[in-house]
Amino acid sequence: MTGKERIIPLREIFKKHNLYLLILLEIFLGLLFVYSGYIKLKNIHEFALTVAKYGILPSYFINLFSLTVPFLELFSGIFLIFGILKKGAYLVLIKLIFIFTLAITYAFVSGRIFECGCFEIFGKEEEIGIYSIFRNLIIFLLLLYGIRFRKK
Amino acid sequence: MNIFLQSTVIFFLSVLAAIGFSYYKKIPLFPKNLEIFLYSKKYPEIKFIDSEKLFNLLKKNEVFLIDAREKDEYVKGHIDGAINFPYSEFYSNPLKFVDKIDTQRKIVVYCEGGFCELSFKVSEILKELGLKDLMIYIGGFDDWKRKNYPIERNF
Repeated sequence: MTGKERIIPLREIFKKHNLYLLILLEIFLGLLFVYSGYIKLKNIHEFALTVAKYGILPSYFINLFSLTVPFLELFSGIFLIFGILKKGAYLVLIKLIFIFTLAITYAFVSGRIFECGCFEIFGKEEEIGIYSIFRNLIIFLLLLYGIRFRKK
Repeated sequence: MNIFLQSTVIFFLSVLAAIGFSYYKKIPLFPKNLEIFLYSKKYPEIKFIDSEKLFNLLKKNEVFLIDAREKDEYVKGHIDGAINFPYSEFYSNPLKFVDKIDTQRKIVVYCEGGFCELSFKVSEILKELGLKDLMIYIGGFDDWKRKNYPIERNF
């Protein structure tokens, strides 16, 4: 056996493991966004109120925006899990998480602390803070990792 | 299908679902007064008052007006005739403030406006203490100033 021949099967194993990892990651991200969208739809008025408190959007668009975002999360999450329009779902989620992170950072820097409207864990809404910015950045990086491999 | 087309499909699907959901849940997509619409859903038992009605009630001396903002903001400017119940102090000892209230008049609470919630927090406590005839002026001090109604400053 030559050295070259040994490297090829190792690469294949590596690729296979990466694929399993990617599928697991997509299921995780998909479930996360389905949950997030579901929670927002369940408390749609609370979510709209939170969006209004950020003070970024004109009040005219707040209801339409607050109603559309949960469905974007819900559909993209489902598509990510079931492998339908997967690249598009990644792109939608990357854009969403990018906008959310900017909005949270803006509110945090300007000293306005209220519920972030992100995820409700055990019935409790979390307040805007370093933790929410950091968590969003991790999700953003995971999405970038996923889309990078799916684009290949 | 390329990635941008895919994301556009998801976007339009979501907008359609949002419109359907708003129709099903009877949520107006473009409400006239968003603040009142959203807060009346969160606090269904609370009544709201607008600047014009408040001004008329103040002229007739039929209202006890509470400013729920902090003392430094109140000093800079407040609605003419308002009494300051700074939420941070009021929260820790509400009974100290409640004695000042004239229960013969309607009670109206306000704060800065623009989705500040201090007025709701103060009125929740007042309600727990058994006070009725409570109203919120949701536009708050910002709306009052913008409409050029009389204000008072204590320097």
